Amino acid sequence: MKKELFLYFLLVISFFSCESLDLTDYSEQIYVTNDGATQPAFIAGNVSSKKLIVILHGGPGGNGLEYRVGDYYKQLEENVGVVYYDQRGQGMSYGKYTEDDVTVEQLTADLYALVKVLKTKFGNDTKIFLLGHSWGGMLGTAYLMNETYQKEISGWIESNGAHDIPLLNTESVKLFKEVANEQIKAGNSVEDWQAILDWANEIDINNITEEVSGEINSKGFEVENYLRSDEVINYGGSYGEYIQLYLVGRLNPLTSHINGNRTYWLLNDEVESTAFTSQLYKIKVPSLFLYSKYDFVVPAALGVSAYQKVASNNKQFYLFEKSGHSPMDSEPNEFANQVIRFTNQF
Amino acid sequence: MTKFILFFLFPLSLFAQEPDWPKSYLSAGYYGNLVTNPGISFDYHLTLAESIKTINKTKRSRSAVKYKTRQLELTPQIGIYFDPQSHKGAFYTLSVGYRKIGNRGLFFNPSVGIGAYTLITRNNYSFNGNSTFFEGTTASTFTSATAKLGIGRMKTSKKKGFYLNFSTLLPFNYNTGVTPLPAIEIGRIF
Repeated sequence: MKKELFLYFLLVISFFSCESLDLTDYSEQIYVTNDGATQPAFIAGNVSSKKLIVILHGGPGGNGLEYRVGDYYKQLEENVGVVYYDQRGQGMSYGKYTEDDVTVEQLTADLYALVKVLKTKFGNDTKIFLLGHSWGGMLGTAYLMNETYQKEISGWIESNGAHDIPLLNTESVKLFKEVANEQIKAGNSVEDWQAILDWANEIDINNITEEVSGEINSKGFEVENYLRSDEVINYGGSYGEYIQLYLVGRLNPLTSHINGNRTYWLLNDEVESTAFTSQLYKIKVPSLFLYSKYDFVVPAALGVSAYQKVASNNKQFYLFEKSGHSPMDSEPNEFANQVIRFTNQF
Repeated sequence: MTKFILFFLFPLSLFAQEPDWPKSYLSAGYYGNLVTNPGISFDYHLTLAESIKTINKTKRSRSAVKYKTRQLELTPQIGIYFDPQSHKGAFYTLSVGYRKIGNRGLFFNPSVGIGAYTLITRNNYSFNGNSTFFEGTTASTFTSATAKLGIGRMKTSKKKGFYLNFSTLLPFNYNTGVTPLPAIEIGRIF
């Protein structure tokens, strides 16, 4: 029995992970507790740059480390520190709180807590950039609506960010029709696009229900498959890396999925009715808007509108021509170039 | 002729006596949270009640008499696992289980229980609205249910037994609800 117990012990200690405190190749997991929720943030890359990009993941229901796959993140981490953060009730975050504590406002307060912790840890002179993708675009925008919170940030990068769901829905329907006609004319996946066109023509854009909004979202991902197979947009992502992340990485896929799903439904009503377009003038920090030509989940029109409306003196817009909803996967080098070029200005 | 009769009587003698399975024992082994996050668990099994059913088989059967044992057992369990890159988990539960044991000691063992699950993380910081604090390593404990489905072989006077459990911890109020933490348990019965 002693021999067996010793073998179990060896097995257990052999699985301890290593973290690196080399400032040019940093790797450390921290946890930030705020109002009952403890949220993991994995910090990696070149923190000696005194610049940190906090990734605000999509969803609601995603996780930060999903953004540490592919090629773009390696280029980012060579230049700056990147913080892969799991928001309240998502990824590997945990804690004890009520359903009433799951609101967009509470999530922005959690993000402020993370920003304050990062400044405590790496110094007040550290420049912090927010990079919000998809739902993360709404979270980042909500954060920047608060002047106190905004003062802690050196720059805002919104990639395919969904800061206005009603506008998103109407622009998506327009884009479905426009691209369906274009693809039918080009002879690409004609039957599939005709079905999409028929479906889009049926939608009353003045009365888009939550159910239709959900359909728009799922069709948005569906048509990306047609565009990929017809080589209109690039393939992206690495399944091998996703498998590695979920099987032997920092994520417990079941916990992440169940918690994320629950949080998605808790936030859904609020998210569906949130529209920040009329308040974007409150954003004064330097801003970079990264959107894609073939993103039906969050159309580029939202990025154009945000670019026009923010009050930042330094604002930039870039359109990915060969991408859908995740340009960091389909055009990783250009995505990394845009982000690095932006952060290098500060 | 005598040899021939002895040859047939020998296997009967193995099963002719009522089985006397141990009423309390220890088991220990690998506890794999999500299969791959390694850990170790210890269980102490205490039989609360037992019934042995005798089945007289037809002459086609290899043995004339078979016994099926049913036990009601109480099992305290403690264990720990390591999610190598994220957190450590410890658990302490008390389960009530049913065990059905066949003639050769093979058993089927479903159980349910209640206890606690402690999640341990390091490099913790907290924020109170104004200031941040470094907390170091912290532990959060959740009341947890547990459910298991097990198979294995009971130990005998000559051989150790083994078990294979598919189990899950079900911590309550984890974020805003119940979150299953499935595991596989493989070990020896001592």
